[in-house]
Amino acid sequence: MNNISQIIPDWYADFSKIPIMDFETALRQKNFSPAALQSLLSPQAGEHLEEMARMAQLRKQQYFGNTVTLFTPLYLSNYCTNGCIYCAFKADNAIRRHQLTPEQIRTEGEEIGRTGMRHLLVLTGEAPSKTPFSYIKESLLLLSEQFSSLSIEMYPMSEIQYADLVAAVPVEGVTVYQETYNPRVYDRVHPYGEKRNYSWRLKTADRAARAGVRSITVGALLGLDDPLYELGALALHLDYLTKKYPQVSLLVSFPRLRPISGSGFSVPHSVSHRFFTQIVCAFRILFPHVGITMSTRESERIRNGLVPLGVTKMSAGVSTAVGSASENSDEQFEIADERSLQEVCSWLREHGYQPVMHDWNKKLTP
Amino acid sequence: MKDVLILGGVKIQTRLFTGSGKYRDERIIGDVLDAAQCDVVTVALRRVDLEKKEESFVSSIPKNKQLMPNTSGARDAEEAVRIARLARAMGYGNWIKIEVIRDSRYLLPDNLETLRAAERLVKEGFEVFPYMNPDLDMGRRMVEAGAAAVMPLGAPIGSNGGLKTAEMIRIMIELVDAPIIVDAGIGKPSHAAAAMEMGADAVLLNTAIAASGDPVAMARAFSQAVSAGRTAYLAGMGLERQGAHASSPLTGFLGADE
Repeated sequence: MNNISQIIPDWYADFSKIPIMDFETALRQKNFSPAALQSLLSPQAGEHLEEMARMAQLRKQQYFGNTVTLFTPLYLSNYCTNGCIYCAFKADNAIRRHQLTPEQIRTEGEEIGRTGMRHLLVLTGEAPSKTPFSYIKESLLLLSEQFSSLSIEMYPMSEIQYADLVAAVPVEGVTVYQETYNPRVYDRVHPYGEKRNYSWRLKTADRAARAGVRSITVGALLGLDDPLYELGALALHLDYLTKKYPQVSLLVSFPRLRPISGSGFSVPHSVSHRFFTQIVCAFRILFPHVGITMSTRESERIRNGLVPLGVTKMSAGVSTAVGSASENSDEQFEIADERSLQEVCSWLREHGYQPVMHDWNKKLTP
Repeated sequence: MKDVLILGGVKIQTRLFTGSGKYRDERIIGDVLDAAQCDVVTVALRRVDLEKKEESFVSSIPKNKQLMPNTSGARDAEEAVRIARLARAMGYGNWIKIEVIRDSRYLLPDNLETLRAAERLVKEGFEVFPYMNPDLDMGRRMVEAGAAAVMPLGAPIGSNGGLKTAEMIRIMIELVDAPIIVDAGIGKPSHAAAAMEMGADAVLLNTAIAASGDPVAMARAFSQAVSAGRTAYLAGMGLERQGAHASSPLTGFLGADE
C-alpha cells in the first residue's frame, strides 16, 4: 500500500484524471472511490439532494441504528505558538490567555461529571512550550478518575508519547485535523510556528494508530481550499486508514470556517448549508462505517437536521473558553448551538434517537 | 416429543435470540422480548456505565431472561477475556458471547483471536458462545475448546444481507458437533426462517428489530418466522424440484420383478 505522504500529492497531481461516474451509479456504490465521491459532491448530485438524504439515512440507521454518541469538550489552555490565519487562538491575537491549574482541572471535571457525561474530549491550543507533555499527562491522569473514556485534541505527538498516554491514562481517542490537505494552501495559512510542518501533522494518525489508540478522528476545515479537492484528499486519508489500520475505529469531521471578528480574515471558499448537507450525505453513503462528528460550531437547526442523515457523534454542554469562569479567557469560536447536555438529550429522545453517554470504559482495556 | 434446546445446561424455549443495541429508546426492550417471547438476550458491556450499573439499560431487561453479555469492542483475545470477567463480576452471569473484531469496515470477527479467547474463558468456567466467520475447522476447534455453541455469521453485522454464507453454514450444521446459532446479517423474517429450515438451532439478530419502525411488531414477526422454520425443519422438507415431474415413471420399462 502506498504511504499517505505519497497518496495525497498524487491526488492533487492527478485530480483531472478521475473518471466520471454518473449520479445513479455513485449513489448505489457500497464503497468509496474518488470517482463516486466527486460524483456525489457535484452540482448535478446537488439537484438530487433529497434522494441522497434518503440513502444516507438508510446507511446511518443500518450501521449506527437510532443512536447518537455524545461527548463534552474541556479546554485546558488557549495558549498557542502558531499563526494560523483563520483561528481566534493564534499567537499574535490579543486575546485573554489562560491555562487550567490541576485544582481547576479537577473542579471542571467534576462539574462536567455531574451532568452525567462519561466521555470527555480534552483540548489545548498548540503550544508545547506552555503545555508540555508532562502537563498534559498529569492533567489527563487527574481527569481519568472521573470519566470512562478520554480523548484528546492537541498538538501532534510522537508515537512514543501516544503510546505512553494509551498505557498510562489510558487515552482512547485522538483527534487531529489536517486543516487543509493542500500543501500550498497549508503553507500560506500557517505562516509560523511548529504547525508549519505539514508532513509531521499528516502522519499523526499513523503514529496514533501504531501506538494503540482505539479511535481516531481526522478532518479538514471547510473554507480554506476548493472543497472538491479538500474532501477528495480527506476521503483518501480515511480510505488509507481503513485499510492500513483496520482495528481503529474512524471518525471524520468537517468544521466550517467562519469569519473571525476584527481579524480581516475572510473565508475564501465558504460552504453553504445546502452543500454542507450534501457533503455529510456523500460521506455517510461512501463511508458507512466511519462516524461523523459535529461540534457546536454548527447551529442547533443544522445539527438537528443532520442527525438522521449521518451525524453519529455530537458535543454537548460546551464552553470553548478555558475555565468556566469565562472572564479569564476568550473563546476559540462562537458557539452556535448553546443547548445544555440535558437539552440535547431531550431533543434526541423526542426525535427517536437514543443519546449514548457511555460507549467504552477504560477498564475494558487490559 | 417436546422440541427443547439446551445450552449451557439451560432449557431454551424460543430459538430467537436478540440484542439490546441500536434502539431509539431502550425502555422498549422489555416489550420486544415479550412480543418475541425471547429467552436469551445479548448485551454489550461497553455500553454499561460500570459506576452506575443500576441506571444501565440492562436493568430494563426482565429478570427471567438469560443474559448473554458480549465482548463488543474487543480487538484481541486479551480484551475479550477482560470484558468477560468484568461482565461476570457485574453479576451478569457466566454466559459470554465472544466478539473479537479487528476490522472496522465490515466488523468481521477474527476467528483466531476468538478461538484463543474461547480456550481461556472455558477454562475459567464460562459458557462460551463464539461469534465467528463460518469455517468448518475453526468451528470444530471452538467446540473442542469447550464452546457451548458456535455462532457463524450470515452476513456482516447490521447489513441485513441475509444468508450470504448459507452453504458454509449448512456444512457447519451438518458436521460441527454443537448447536449452531446463526448470528448477524439476518434482515427479514424470511432470512430467519431460511436459517431454521436449514437446521440451525437458533438465530440471533438485533438491527432488523431495533432499527425497524415498529420493533415490537417486528419482533413478533421474527418469532413466528423462526418458529415456522423450525417446524418445517422438524417435519422434513421435500427437496426443491427442478422442472416438472414426468407423469409416467421414467423407469416404467422395467418389469416389477427386475
